[in-house]
Amino acid sequence: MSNLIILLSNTDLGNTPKIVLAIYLLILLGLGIFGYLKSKGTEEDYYLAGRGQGLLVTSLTIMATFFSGVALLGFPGLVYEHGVSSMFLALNLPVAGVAVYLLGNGIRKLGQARGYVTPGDMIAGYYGGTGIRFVVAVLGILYVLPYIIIQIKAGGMLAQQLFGENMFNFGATALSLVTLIYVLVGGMRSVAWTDVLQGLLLLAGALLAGVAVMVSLGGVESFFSKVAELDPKQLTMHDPQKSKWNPWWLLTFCLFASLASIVQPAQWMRFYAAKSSKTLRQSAVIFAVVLPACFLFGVMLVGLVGRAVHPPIDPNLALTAENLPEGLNKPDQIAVFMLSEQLPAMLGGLGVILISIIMVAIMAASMSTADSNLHALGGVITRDFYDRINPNATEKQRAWVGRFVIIITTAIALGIVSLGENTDFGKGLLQTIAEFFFLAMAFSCQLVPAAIDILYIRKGTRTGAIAGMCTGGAVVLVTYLFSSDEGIQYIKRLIDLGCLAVTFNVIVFVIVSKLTKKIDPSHIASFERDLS
Amino acid sequence: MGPGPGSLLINPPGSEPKFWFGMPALYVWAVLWFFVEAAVILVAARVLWGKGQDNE
Repeated sequence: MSNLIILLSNTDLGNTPKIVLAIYLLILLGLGIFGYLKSKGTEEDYYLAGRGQGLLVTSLTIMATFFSGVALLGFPGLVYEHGVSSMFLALNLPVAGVAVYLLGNGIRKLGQARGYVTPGDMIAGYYGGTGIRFVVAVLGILYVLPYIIIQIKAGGMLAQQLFGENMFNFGATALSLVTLIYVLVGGMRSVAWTDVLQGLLLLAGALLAGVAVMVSLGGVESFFSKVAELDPKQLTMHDPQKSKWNPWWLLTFCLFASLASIVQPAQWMRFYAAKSSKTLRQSAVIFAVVLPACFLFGVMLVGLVGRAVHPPIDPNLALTAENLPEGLNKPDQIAVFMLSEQLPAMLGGLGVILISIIMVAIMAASMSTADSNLHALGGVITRDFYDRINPNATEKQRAWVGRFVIIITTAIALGIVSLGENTDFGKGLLQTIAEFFFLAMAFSCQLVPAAIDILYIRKGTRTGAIAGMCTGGAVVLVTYLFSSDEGIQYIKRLIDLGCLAVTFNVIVFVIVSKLTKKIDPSHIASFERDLS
Repeated sequence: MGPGPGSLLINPPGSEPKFWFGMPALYVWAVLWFFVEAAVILVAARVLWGKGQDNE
Protein backbone atom coordinates (compact mmCIF):
# COMPACT_ATOMS: atom_id res chain seq x y z
CA MET A 1 0.00 0.00 0.00
CA SER A 2 2.90 2.43 0.65
CA ASN A 3 3.70 2.50 -3.03
CA LEU A 4 0.07 3.18 -3.82
CA ILE A 5 0.65 6.49 -2.10
CA ILE A 6 3.44 7.44 -4.50
CA LEU A 7 1.39 6.21 -7.43
CA LEU A 8 -1.71 8.18 -6.54
CA SER A 9 0.21 11.29 -5.61
CA ASN A 10 1.46 11.34 -9.19
CA THR A 11 -2.13 11.42 -10.43
CA ASP A 12 -3.91 14.76 -10.34
CA LEU A 13 -7.24 13.94 -8.79
CA GLY A 14 -7.70 17.33 -7.09
CA ASN A 15 -9.72 17.47 -3.88
CA THR A 16 -12.33 14.92 -5.00
CA PRO A 17 -10.85 11.94 -3.07
CA LYS A 18 -10.68 14.05 0.10
CA ILE A 19 -14.33 15.13 -0.25
CA VAL A 20 -15.48 11.55 -0.95
CA LEU A 21 -13.45 10.34 2.04
CA ALA A 22 -14.89 13.05 4.32
CA ILE A 23 -18.46 12.14 3.28
CA TYR A 24 -17.72 8.46 3.87
CA LEU A 25 -16.32 9.07 7.38
CA LEU A 26 -19.30 11.27 8.30
CA ILE A 27 -21.70 8.55 7.16
CA LEU A 28 -19.81 6.04 9.33
CA LEU A 29 -20.17 8.29 12.38
CA GLY A 30 -23.85 8.72 11.57
CA LEU A 31 -24.29 4.94 11.45
CA GLY A 32 -22.45 4.69 14.77
CA ILE A 33 -24.97 7.08 16.35
CA PHE A 34 -27.82 5.14 14.71
CA GLY A 35 -26.53 1.94 16.32
CA TYR A 36 -26.27 3.67 19.70
CA LEU A 37 -29.85 4.99 19.53
CA LYS A 38 -31.15 1.52 18.68
CA SER A 39 -29.13 -0.29 21.35
CA LYS A 40 -30.66 -1.68 24.53
CA GLY A 41 -27.53 -1.58 26.69
CA THR A 42 -27.33 -5.33 27.36
CA GLU A 43 -24.28 -7.52 26.70
CA GLU A 44 -26.14 -9.61 24.14
CA ASP A 45 -27.26 -6.49 22.33
CA TYR A 46 -23.76 -4.99 22.33
CA TYR A 47 -22.08 -8.10 20.94
CA LEU A 48 -24.84 -9.65 18.83
CA ALA A 49 -27.35 -6.87 18.08
CA GLY A 50 -30.02 -8.80 19.95
CA ARG A 51 -29.56 -11.83 17.63
CA GLY A 52 -31.99 -10.29 15.16
CA GLN A 53 -29.97 -9.29 12.10
CA GLY A 54 -31.83 -9.69 8.82
CA LEU A 55 -30.70 -10.62 5.33
CA LEU A 56 -29.26 -7.30 4.11
CA VAL A 57 -27.10 -6.74 7.18
CA THR A 58 -26.06 -10.38 7.66
CA SER A 59 -25.02 -10.97 4.05
CA LEU A 60 -23.07 -7.73 3.71
CA THR A 61 -21.41 -7.84 7.12
CA ILE A 62 -20.19 -11.41 6.44
CA MET A 63 -18.76 -10.33 3.07
CA ALA A 64 -17.18 -7.12 4.40
CA THR A 65 -15.60 -8.95 7.33
CA PHE A 66 -14.29 -11.70 5.01
CA PHE A 67 -12.20 -9.30 2.94
CA SER A 68 -9.71 -6.66 4.01
CA GLY A 69 -8.03 -4.11 1.72
CA VAL A 70 -6.08 -7.07 0.27
CA ALA A 71 -9.12 -7.88 -1.85
CA LEU A 72 -8.96 -4.82 -4.06
CA LEU A 73 -5.17 -4.46 -4.17
CA GLY A 74 -3.74 -7.92 -3.54
CA PHE A 75 -5.90 -10.00 -5.89
CA PRO A 76 -5.18 -7.99 -9.07
CA GLY A 77 -1.55 -7.80 -7.91
CA LEU A 78 -1.34 -11.59 -7.70
CA VAL A 79 -2.89 -11.97 -11.17
CA TYR A 80 -0.42 -9.41 -12.54
CA GLU A 81 2.47 -11.34 -11.00
CA HIS A 82 1.45 -14.96 -11.50
CA GLY A 83 -1.06 -14.87 -14.35
CA VAL A 84 -4.36 -16.60 -14.88
CA SER A 85 -3.62 -19.54 -12.53
CA SER A 86 -3.99 -17.22 -9.51
CA MET A 87 -7.54 -16.36 -10.64
CA PHE A 88 -8.56 -19.79 -9.34
CA LEU A 89 -8.34 -18.25 -5.86
CA ALA A 90 -11.85 -16.88 -6.48
CA LEU A 91 -13.15 -20.46 -6.44
CA ASN A 92 -12.59 -20.62 -2.67
CA LEU A 93 -15.47 -18.17 -2.22
CA PRO A 94 -18.35 -20.52 -3.14
CA VAL A 95 -16.83 -23.08 -0.73
CA ALA A 96 -16.87 -20.38 1.96
CA GLY A 97 -20.49 -19.68 1.04
CA VAL A 98 -21.38 -23.33 1.71
CA ALA A 99 -19.63 -23.10 5.09
CA VAL A 100 -21.63 -19.96 5.94
CA TYR A 101 -24.72 -22.15 5.96
CA LEU A 102 -23.47 -25.60 6.93
CA LEU A 103 -21.37 -24.37 9.86
CA GLY A 104 -23.03 -21.01 10.47
CA ASN A 105 -26.57 -22.26 10.89
CA GLY A 106 -25.66 -24.85 13.52
CA ILE A 107 -23.58 -22.25 15.35
CA ARG A 108 -26.57 -19.86 15.24
CA LYS A 109 -28.94 -22.48 16.63
CA LEU A 110 -26.69 -23.38 19.53
CA GLY A 111 -25.99 -19.71 20.21
CA GLN A 112 -29.69 -18.87 20.40
CA ALA A 113 -30.55 -21.88 22.51
CA ARG A 114 -27.68 -21.47 24.98
CA GLY A 115 -26.85 -17.76 24.95
CA TYR A 116 -23.38 -18.16 23.42
CA VAL A 117 -21.45 -15.07 22.34
CA THR A 118 -17.94 -16.25 21.40
CA PRO A 119 -16.49 -19.38 19.70
CA GLY A 120 -15.06 -20.34 23.11
CA ASP A 121 -18.56 -20.33 24.62
CA MET A 122 -19.74 -23.01 22.19
CA ILE A 123 -16.64 -25.21 22.12
CA ALA A 124 -16.14 -25.07 25.89
CA GLY A 125 -19.90 -25.44 26.38
CA TYR A 126 -19.86 -28.74 24.52
CA TYR A 127 -16.53 -30.26 25.60
CA GLY A 128 -16.50 -28.67 29.08
CA GLY A 129 -13.66 -27.06 31.03
CA THR A 130 -11.77 -23.80 30.98
CA GLY A 131 -8.59 -25.09 29.30
CA ILE A 132 -10.25 -25.62 25.93
CA ARG A 133 -11.85 -22.18 26.16
CA PHE A 134 -8.39 -20.60 26.57
CA VAL A 135 -6.98 -22.55 23.61
CA VAL A 136 -9.88 -21.43 21.38
CA ALA A 137 -9.52 -17.84 22.59
CA VAL A 138 -5.76 -17.78 21.93
CA LEU A 139 -6.24 -19.18 18.39
CA GLY A 140 -8.85 -16.48 17.81
CA ILE A 141 -6.61 -13.72 19.16
CA LEU A 142 -3.76 -14.90 16.91
CA TYR A 143 -6.13 -14.28 14.00
CA VAL A 144 -7.63 -11.02 15.21
CA LEU A 145 -4.65 -8.96 16.45
CA PRO A 146 -2.48 -8.89 13.29
CA TYR A 147 -5.54 -7.98 11.24
CA ILE A 148 -6.34 -4.95 13.45
CA ILE A 149 -2.76 -3.65 13.37
CA ILE A 150 -2.29 -4.05 9.61
CA GLN A 151 -5.61 -2.30 8.84
CA ILE A 152 -4.70 0.70 11.04
CA LYS A 153 -1.39 0.93 9.18
CA ALA A 154 -3.32 0.99 5.89
CA GLY A 155 -5.29 4.02 7.13
CA GLY A 156 -2.04 5.89 7.80
CA MET A 157 -0.80 5.16 4.32
CA LEU A 158 -3.97 6.37 2.67
CA ALA A 159 -3.70 9.64 4.63
CA GLN A 160 -0.12 10.08 3.39
CA GLN A 161 -1.42 9.92 -0.14
CA LEU A 162 -4.32 12.26 0.40
CA PHE A 163 -2.81 14.87 2.72
CA GLY A 164 0.97 14.57 2.41
CA GLU A 165 3.95 12.41 3.38
CA ASN A 166 4.03 13.52 7.04
CA MET A 167 0.37 12.70 7.66
CA PHE A 168 0.83 8.99 8.40
CA ASN A 169 0.21 9.29 12.15
CA PHE A 170 -2.76 11.57 11.55
CA GLY A 171 -4.35 9.05 9.16
CA ALA A 172 -3.74 6.02 11.38
CA THR A 173 -5.11 7.93 14.40
CA ALA A 174 -8.14 9.20 12.48
CA LEU A 175 -9.01 5.72 11.16
CA SER A 176 -8.59 4.25 14.65
CA LEU A 177 -10.65 6.96 16.34
CA VAL A 178 -13.54 6.85 13.86
CA THR A 179 -13.60 3.04 14.06
CA LEU A 180 -13.27 3.15 17.86
CA ILE A 181 -16.15 5.61 18.25
CA TYR A 182 -18.69 3.63 16.28
CA VAL A 183 -17.60 0.27 17.72
CA LEU A 184 -17.78 1.66 21.26
CA VAL A 185 -21.09 3.45 21.05
CA GLY A 186 -23.13 1.07 18.96
CA GLY A 187 -21.42 -2.34 19.26
CA MET A 188 -22.43 -5.01 16.75
CA ARG A 189 -25.34 -2.96 15.43
CA SER A 190 -23.07 -0.07 14.36
CA VAL A 191 -20.32 -2.41 13.13
CA ALA A 192 -22.80 -4.36 11.03
CA TRP A 193 -24.50 -1.29 9.56
CA THR A 194 -21.16 0.29 8.65
CA ASP A 195 -20.27 -3.08 7.14
CA VAL A 196 -23.35 -2.76 4.91
CA LEU A 197 -21.95 0.44 3.43
CA GLN A 198 -18.42 -0.95 3.33
CA GLY A 199 -19.58 -4.23 1.77
CA LEU A 200 -21.49 -2.39 -0.95
CA LEU A 201 -18.42 -0.25 -1.66
CA LEU A 202 -16.22 -3.36 -1.81
CA LEU A 203 -18.50 -5.16 -4.27
CA ALA A 204 -19.06 -2.05 -6.39
CA GLY A 205 -15.33 -1.25 -6.40
CA ALA A 206 -14.35 -4.79 -7.44
CA LEU A 207 -16.87 -5.01 -10.26
CA LEU A 208 -16.55 -1.43 -11.43
CA ALA A 209 -12.77 -1.74 -11.74
CA GLY A 210 -13.01 -4.61 -14.26
CA VAL A 211 -15.88 -3.17 -16.26
CA ALA A 212 -14.26 0.28 -16.48
CA VAL A 213 -10.93 -1.06 -17.72
CA MET A 214 -12.66 -3.36 -20.23
CA VAL A 215 -14.72 -0.48 -21.64
CA SER A 216 -11.70 1.82 -21.77
CA LEU A 217 -9.74 -0.77 -23.78
CA GLY A 218 -12.48 -1.02 -26.42
CA GLY A 219 -14.73 -3.84 -25.22
CA VAL A 220 -14.46 -7.58 -24.53
CA GLU A 221 -12.85 -8.60 -27.84
CA SER A 222 -10.18 -5.92 -27.75
CA PHE A 223 -9.59 -6.60 -24.04
CA PHE A 224 -8.89 -10.31 -24.56
CA SER A 225 -6.81 -9.70 -27.69
CA LYS A 226 -4.47 -7.72 -25.39
CA VAL A 227 -4.51 -10.61 -22.90
CA ALA A 228 -3.57 -13.03 -25.72
CA GLU A 229 -0.26 -11.15 -26.09
CA LEU A 230 0.83 -12.31 -22.61
CA ASP A 231 3.87 -14.51 -22.01
CA PRO A 232 2.69 -18.21 -22.24
CA LYS A 233 3.77 -18.72 -18.60
CA GLN A 234 1.04 -16.26 -17.58
CA LEU A 235 -1.64 -18.32 -19.33
CA THR A 236 -0.82 -21.85 -18.11
CA MET A 237 -0.73 -23.64 -14.75
CA HIS A 238 2.53 -23.45 -12.79
CA ASP A 239 4.94 -26.23 -11.91
CA PRO A 240 4.92 -27.18 -8.17
CA GLN A 241 8.72 -27.40 -8.27
CA LYS A 242 8.91 -23.67 -8.98
CA SER A 243 5.75 -21.98 -7.80
CA LYS A 244 2.84 -22.43 -5.40
CA TRP A 245 0.37 -21.43 -8.13
CA ASN A 246 0.00 -25.06 -9.11
CA PRO A 247 -3.17 -27.21 -9.08
CA TRP A 248 -2.38 -29.00 -5.80
CA TRP A 249 -1.79 -25.91 -3.70
CA LEU A 250 -4.74 -24.12 -5.30
CA LEU A 251 -7.06 -27.06 -4.62
CA THR A 252 -6.12 -27.27 -0.93
CA PHE A 253 -6.30 -23.49 -0.58
CA CYS A 254 -9.78 -23.37 -2.10
CA LEU A 255 -10.99 -26.07 0.29
CA PHE A 256 -9.42 -24.94 3.55
CA ALA A 257 -8.57 -21.23 3.46
CA SER A 258 -12.23 -20.39 3.02
CA LEU A 259 -13.15 -22.43 6.10
CA ALA A 260 -10.53 -20.58 8.14
CA SER A 261 -12.02 -17.21 7.37
CA ILE A 262 -15.51 -18.48 8.11
CA VAL A 263 -14.72 -19.74 11.64
CA GLN A 264 -12.65 -16.76 12.78
CA PRO A 265 -14.17 -15.08 15.87
CA ALA A 266 -15.80 -12.08 14.12
CA GLN A 267 -17.61 -14.30 11.57
CA TRP A 268 -18.59 -16.81 14.25
CA MET A 269 -20.27 -13.99 16.19
CA ARG A 270 -22.11 -12.92 13.02
CA PHE A 271 -23.68 -16.38 12.83
CA TYR A 272 -24.91 -16.01 16.43
CA ALA A 273 -26.33 -12.59 15.47
CA ALA A 274 -28.31 -13.81 12.42
CA LYS A 275 -32.07 -13.78 12.82
CA SER A 276 -32.99 -17.15 11.32
CA SER A 277 -31.97 -20.14 9.29
CA LYS A 278 -33.46 -18.51 6.21
CA THR A 279 -31.30 -15.40 6.73
CA LEU A 280 -28.14 -17.49 6.77
CA ARG A 281 -29.23 -19.66 3.86
CA GLN A 282 -29.86 -16.65 1.66
CA SER A 283 -26.68 -14.93 2.88
CA ALA A 284 -24.72 -18.06 1.95
CA VAL A 285 -26.12 -18.01 -1.59
CA ILE A 286 -25.41 -14.30 -2.04
CA PHE A 287 -21.88 -14.78 -0.70
CA ALA A 288 -21.21 -17.77 -2.96
CA VAL A 289 -22.56 -16.19 -6.14
CA VAL A 290 -22.09 -12.42 -5.95
CA LEU A 291 -18.65 -12.16 -4.34
CA PRO A 292 -16.70 -14.45 -6.73
CA ALA A 293 -18.51 -12.90 -9.72
CA CYS A 294 -17.29 -9.44 -8.68
CA PHE A 295 -13.72 -10.72 -8.59
CA LEU A 296 -13.72 -13.06 -11.62
CA PHE A 297 -15.48 -10.55 -13.88
CA GLY A 298 -14.08 -7.49 -12.16
CA VAL A 299 -10.88 -6.54 -10.46
CA MET A 300 -8.95 -9.77 -11.23
CA LEU A 301 -9.26 -9.07 -14.97
CA VAL A 302 -7.59 -5.72 -14.38
CA GLY A 303 -4.49 -7.54 -13.12
CA LEU A 304 -4.48 -9.82 -16.16
CA VAL A 305 -4.73 -7.11 -18.80
CA GLY A 306 -2.47 -4.86 -16.71
CA ARG A 307 0.35 -7.35 -17.26
CA ALA A 308 -0.20 -7.16 -21.03
CA VAL A 309 -0.49 -3.36 -21.20
CA HIS A 310 2.26 -2.57 -18.64
CA PRO A 311 4.60 -5.60 -18.66
CA PRO A 312 7.70 -5.77 -16.46
CA ILE A 313 10.99 -4.87 -18.12
CA ASP A 314 12.40 -8.40 -17.69
CA PRO A 315 9.66 -11.01 -17.02
CA ASN A 316 12.24 -13.47 -15.68
CA LEU A 317 13.37 -11.20 -12.83
CA ALA A 318 11.59 -10.36 -9.58
CA LEU A 319 8.92 -7.67 -9.90
CA THR A 320 10.74 -4.93 -7.99
CA ALA A 321 10.28 -1.20 -8.64
CA GLU A 322 13.35 -1.21 -10.93
CA ASN A 323 11.88 -3.99 -13.07
CA LEU A 324 8.41 -2.46 -13.42
CA PRO A 325 7.17 0.28 -15.77
CA GLU A 326 7.62 3.86 -14.59
CA GLY A 327 5.08 4.85 -11.95
CA LEU A 328 4.34 1.26 -10.96
CA ASN A 329 6.44 0.21 -7.97
CA LYS A 330 4.72 -2.98 -6.88
CA PRO A 331 2.32 -5.50 -8.51
CA ASP A 332 -0.31 -4.59 -5.85
CA GLN A 333 -0.61 -1.16 -7.43
CA ILE A 334 -1.74 -2.42 -10.81
CA ALA A 335 -5.50 -1.94 -10.32
CA VAL A 336 -5.21 1.66 -9.11
CA PHE A 337 -2.48 2.32 -11.70
CA MET A 338 -4.70 1.16 -14.55
CA LEU A 339 -7.80 2.90 -13.21
CA SER A 340 -6.13 6.22 -12.48
CA GLU A 341 -4.69 6.10 -16.00
CA GLN A 342 -7.86 5.06 -17.82
CA LEU A 343 -10.84 6.47 -15.91
CA PRO A 344 -10.10 10.23 -15.81
CA ALA A 345 -8.97 10.11 -19.47
CA MET A 346 -12.14 8.29 -20.52
CA LEU A 347 -14.76 9.91 -18.32
CA GLY A 348 -13.23 13.23 -17.16
CA GLY A 349 -14.78 14.46 -13.88
CA LEU A 350 -16.92 11.33 -13.52
CA GLY A 351 -13.78 9.22 -13.86
CA VAL A 352 -12.16 11.16 -11.01
CA ILE A 353 -15.22 10.53 -8.84
CA LEU A 354 -15.15 6.82 -9.71
CA ILE A 355 -11.45 6.43 -8.87
CA SER A 356 -12.11 8.31 -5.61
CA ILE A 357 -14.90 5.87 -4.78
CA ILE A 358 -12.60 2.94 -5.49
CA MET A 359 -9.96 4.44 -3.18
CA VAL A 360 -12.54 4.86 -0.44
CA ALA A 361 -13.64 1.27 -1.14
CA ILE A 362 -10.07 0.16 -0.39
CA MET A 363 -10.19 2.05 2.89
CA ALA A 364 -13.67 0.70 3.59
CA ALA A 365 -12.40 -2.86 3.14
CA SER A 366 -9.67 -2.15 5.71
CA MET A 367 -12.02 -0.49 8.19
CA SER A 368 -14.66 -3.20 7.98
CA THR A 369 -12.03 -5.79 8.88
CA ALA A 370 -10.58 -3.66 11.70
CA ASP A 371 -13.95 -2.86 13.29
CA SER A 372 -15.23 -6.46 13.16
CA ASN A 373 -12.04 -7.82 14.67
CA LEU A 374 -11.86 -5.14 17.39
CA HIS A 375 -15.45 -5.84 18.35
CA ALA A 376 -14.86 -9.62 18.35
CA LEU A 377 -11.72 -9.22 20.47
CA GLY A 378 -13.70 -7.29 23.08
CA GLY A 379 -16.13 -10.22 23.28
CA VAL A 380 -13.43 -12.91 23.39
CA ILE A 381 -11.40 -11.24 26.17
CA THR A 382 -14.50 -10.50 28.24
CA ARG A 383 -16.25 -13.85 27.90
CA ASP A 384 -13.28 -16.18 27.70
CA PHE A 385 -10.92 -14.52 30.21
CA TYR A 386 -12.60 -11.85 32.38
CA ASP A 387 -15.65 -14.00 33.13
CA ARG A 388 -13.36 -16.77 34.42
CA ILE A 389 -11.66 -14.34 36.79
CA ASN A 390 -14.85 -12.59 37.89
CA PRO A 391 -17.76 -15.00 37.34
CA ASN A 392 -20.13 -12.78 39.36
CA ALA A 393 -19.71 -9.74 37.11
CA THR A 394 -22.96 -8.09 36.06
CA GLU A 395 -23.95 -7.85 32.41
CA LYS A 396 -23.25 -4.11 32.44
CA GLN A 397 -19.79 -4.65 33.92
CA ARG A 398 -18.98 -7.19 31.21
CA ALA A 399 -20.12 -4.84 28.44
CA TRP A 400 -17.87 -2.11 29.85
CA VAL A 401 -14.92 -4.47 30.17
CA GLY A 402 -15.39 -5.29 26.47
CA ARG A 403 -15.36 -1.58 25.63
CA PHE A 404 -12.24 -1.07 27.76
CA VAL A 405 -10.49 -3.92 25.89
CA ILE A 406 -11.41 -2.29 22.57
CA ILE A 407 -9.95 1.07 23.70
CA ILE A 408 -6.72 -0.49 25.03
CA THR A 409 -6.27 -2.69 21.95
CA THR A 410 -6.77 0.26 19.61
CA ALA A 411 -4.25 2.32 21.60
CA ILE A 412 -1.67 -0.51 21.58
CA ALA A 413 -2.22 -1.21 17.85
CA LEU A 414 -1.86 2.49 17.09
CA GLY A 415 1.31 2.63 19.21
CA ILE A 416 2.84 -0.34 17.36
CA VAL A 417 1.95 1.17 13.97
CA SER A 418 3.42 4.52 15.02
CA LEU A 419 6.59 2.83 16.36
CA GLY A 420 6.85 0.87 13.11
CA GLU A 421 6.83 4.13 11.17
CA ASN A 422 9.35 5.93 13.36
CA THR A 423 11.83 3.44 14.94
CA ASP A 424 13.92 0.42 13.90
CA PHE A 425 12.58 -1.63 16.81
CA GLY A 426 9.03 -0.79 15.71
CA LYS A 427 9.80 -1.73 12.11
CA GLY A 428 11.01 -5.17 13.23
CA LEU A 429 7.98 -5.65 15.44
CA LEU A 430 5.63 -4.63 12.65
CA GLN A 431 7.42 -6.99 10.25
CA THR A 432 6.87 -9.91 12.65
CA ILE A 433 3.20 -8.95 13.00
CA ALA A 434 2.88 -8.78 9.19
CA GLU A 435 4.29 -12.35 9.03
CA PHE A 436 1.70 -13.48 11.57
CA PHE A 437 -0.95 -11.77 9.44
CA PHE A 438 -0.20 -14.35 6.74
CA LEU A 439 -0.42 -17.19 9.28
CA ALA A 440 -3.68 -15.94 10.77
CA MET A 441 -5.93 -18.10 8.60
CA ALA A 442 -3.88 -21.21 9.34
CA PHE A 443 -4.38 -20.58 13.08
CA SER A 444 -8.12 -19.95 12.94
CA CYS A 445 -8.58 -23.00 10.67
CA GLN A 446 -7.78 -25.16 13.71
CA LEU A 447 -11.28 -24.52 15.09
CA VAL A 448 -12.88 -26.28 12.09
CA PRO A 449 -12.52 -29.95 13.26
CA ALA A 450 -14.01 -29.18 16.70
CA ALA A 451 -16.85 -27.18 15.11
CA ILE A 452 -17.67 -30.02 12.69
CA ASP A 453 -17.53 -32.55 15.53
CA ILE A 454 -19.97 -30.54 17.67
CA LEU A 455 -22.38 -29.82 14.81
CA TYR A 456 -22.35 -33.15 12.95
CA ILE A 457 -20.33 -36.02 14.45
CA ARG A 458 -20.26 -35.68 18.26
CA LYS A 459 -17.69 -38.44 18.83
CA GLY A 460 -14.75 -36.32 19.97
CA THR A 461 -13.58 -35.73 23.54
CA ARG A 462 -12.33 -32.66 25.33
CA THR A 463 -8.75 -33.95 25.49
CA GLY A 464 -8.91 -34.93 21.83
CA ALA A 465 -10.13 -31.49 20.78
CA ILE A 466 -7.45 -29.70 22.84
CA ALA A 467 -4.71 -32.02 21.57
CA GLY A 468 -5.86 -31.55 17.97
CA MET A 469 -5.99 -27.76 18.15
CA CYS A 470 -2.62 -27.52 19.93
CA THR A 471 -1.05 -29.86 17.35
CA GLY A 472 -2.47 -27.85 14.45
CA GLY A 473 -1.26 -24.57 15.99
CA ALA A 474 2.17 -26.12 16.62
CA VAL A 475 2.44 -27.25 12.97
CA VAL A 476 1.78 -23.66 11.85
CA LEU A 477 4.46 -22.34 14.22
CA VAL A 478 7.02 -24.99 13.23
CA THR A 479 6.58 -24.27 9.51
CA TYR A 480 6.97 -20.55 10.31
CA LEU A 481 10.14 -21.09 12.35
CA PHE A 482 11.69 -23.39 9.71
CA SER A 483 10.33 -21.56 6.69
CA SER A 484 13.80 -21.26 5.14
CA ASP A 485 14.17 -25.07 4.98
CA GLU A 486 13.85 -26.34 1.39
CA GLY A 487 11.75 -29.36 2.35
CA ILE A 488 9.28 -27.16 4.24
CA GLN A 489 9.17 -24.74 1.30
CA TYR A 490 8.36 -27.57 -1.11
CA ILE A 491 5.58 -28.91 1.14
CA LYS A 492 4.14 -25.38 1.40
CA ARG A 493 4.14 -25.14 -2.39
CA LEU A 494 2.18 -28.39 -2.64
CA ILE A 495 -0.32 -27.91 0.13
CA ASP A 496 -1.90 -24.90 1.81
CA LEU A 497 -0.49 -24.41 5.33
CA GLY A 498 -3.95 -24.37 6.91
CA CYS A 499 -4.83 -27.66 5.21
CA LEU A 500 -1.55 -29.23 6.35
CA ALA A 501 -2.05 -28.14 9.96
CA VAL A 502 -5.72 -29.23 9.99
CA THR A 503 -4.70 -32.67 8.70
CA PHE A 504 -2.41 -33.12 11.73
CA ASN A 505 -5.12 -31.64 13.95
CA VAL A 506 -7.72 -34.19 12.73
CA ILE A 507 -5.36 -37.19 13.07
CA VAL A 508 -4.45 -36.28 16.65
CA PHE A 509 -8.07 -35.35 17.49
CA VAL A 510 -9.35 -38.77 16.31
CA ILE A 511 -6.62 -40.84 17.97
CA VAL A 512 -6.75 -39.02 21.33
CA SER A 513 -10.56 -39.06 21.32
CA LYS A 514 -10.48 -42.86 20.95
CA LEU A 515 -8.26 -43.13 24.01
CA THR A 516 -9.81 -40.62 26.39
CA LYS A 517 -12.97 -40.21 28.47
CA LYS A 518 -16.13 -39.86 26.39
CA ILE A 519 -18.61 -37.03 26.84
CA ASP A 520 -21.74 -37.81 28.85
CA PRO A 521 -24.42 -39.14 26.39
CA SER A 522 -27.15 -36.99 28.00
CA HIS A 523 -25.02 -33.88 27.38
CA ILE A 524 -24.60 -34.91 23.72
CA ALA A 525 -28.34 -35.55 23.43
CA SER A 526 -29.15 -32.06 24.70
CA PHE A 527 -26.94 -30.58 21.95
CA GLU A 528 -28.64 -32.80 19.37
CA ARG A 529 -32.00 -31.42 20.50
CA ASP A 530 -30.82 -27.82 20.20
CA LEU A 531 -29.47 -28.51 16.72
CA SER A 532 -32.57 -30.24 15.38
CA MET B 1 -11.66 -30.16 -9.69
CA GLY B 2 -11.71 -26.65 -11.09
CA PRO B 3 -8.43 -25.42 -9.66
CA GLY B 4 -7.08 -28.95 -9.07
CA PRO B 5 -6.23 -31.78 -11.46
CA GLY B 6 -8.85 -30.61 -13.97
CA SER B 7 -6.80 -27.52 -14.73
CA LEU B 8 -3.87 -29.77 -15.69
CA LEU B 9 -5.99 -31.19 -18.51
CA ILE B 10 -6.59 -27.70 -19.88
CA ASN B 11 -3.20 -26.00 -19.80
CA PRO B 12 -0.52 -27.91 -17.87
CA PRO B 13 2.83 -26.27 -16.99
CA GLY B 14 5.03 -25.78 -20.06
CA SER B 15 2.23 -26.27 -22.61
CA GLU B 16 1.19 -23.78 -25.29
CA PRO B 17 -1.62 -21.51 -24.06
CA LYS B 18 -5.05 -22.49 -25.38
CA PHE B 19 -7.87 -20.08 -26.13
CA TRP B 20 -11.60 -20.77 -26.03
CA PHE B 21 -13.99 -18.16 -27.47
CA GLY B 22 -11.04 -15.78 -27.76
CA MET B 23 -10.31 -15.98 -24.03
CA PRO B 24 -7.55 -17.91 -22.18
CA ALA B 25 -8.82 -21.48 -21.73
CA LEU B 26 -7.84 -21.51 -18.04
CA TYR B 27 -9.90 -18.37 -17.42
CA VAL B 28 -12.91 -19.93 -19.17
CA TRP B 29 -12.33 -23.09 -17.09
CA ALA B 30 -12.32 -21.04 -13.86
CA VAL B 31 -15.51 -19.23 -14.91
CA LEU B 32 -17.15 -22.53 -15.87
CA TRP B 33 -16.33 -24.01 -12.45
CA PHE B 34 -17.62 -20.90 -10.74
CA PHE B 35 -20.98 -21.49 -12.52
CA VAL B 36 -20.91 -25.18 -11.53
CA GLU B 37 -20.26 -24.28 -7.87
CA ALA B 38 -22.91 -21.53 -7.94
CA ALA B 39 -25.47 -23.90 -9.52
CA VAL B 40 -24.79 -26.62 -6.93
CA ILE B 41 -25.22 -24.12 -4.10
CA LEU B 42 -28.42 -22.69 -5.57
CA VAL B 43 -29.92 -26.17 -5.91
CA ALA B 44 -28.74 -27.21 -2.43
CA ALA B 45 -30.18 -24.03 -0.91
CA ARG B 46 -33.57 -24.62 -2.55
CA VAL B 47 -33.84 -28.39 -2.20
CA LEU B 48 -31.79 -29.47 0.83
CA TRP B 49 -31.09 -26.60 3.15
CA GLY B 50 -34.59 -25.17 3.25
CA LYS B 51 -36.34 -28.31 4.50
CA GLY B 52 -38.15 -27.65 7.75
CA GLN B 53 -35.93 -24.70 8.64
CA ASP B 54 -38.03 -21.71 7.70
CA ASN B 55 -40.77 -22.01 10.31
CA GLU B 56 -38.52 -20.89 13.17
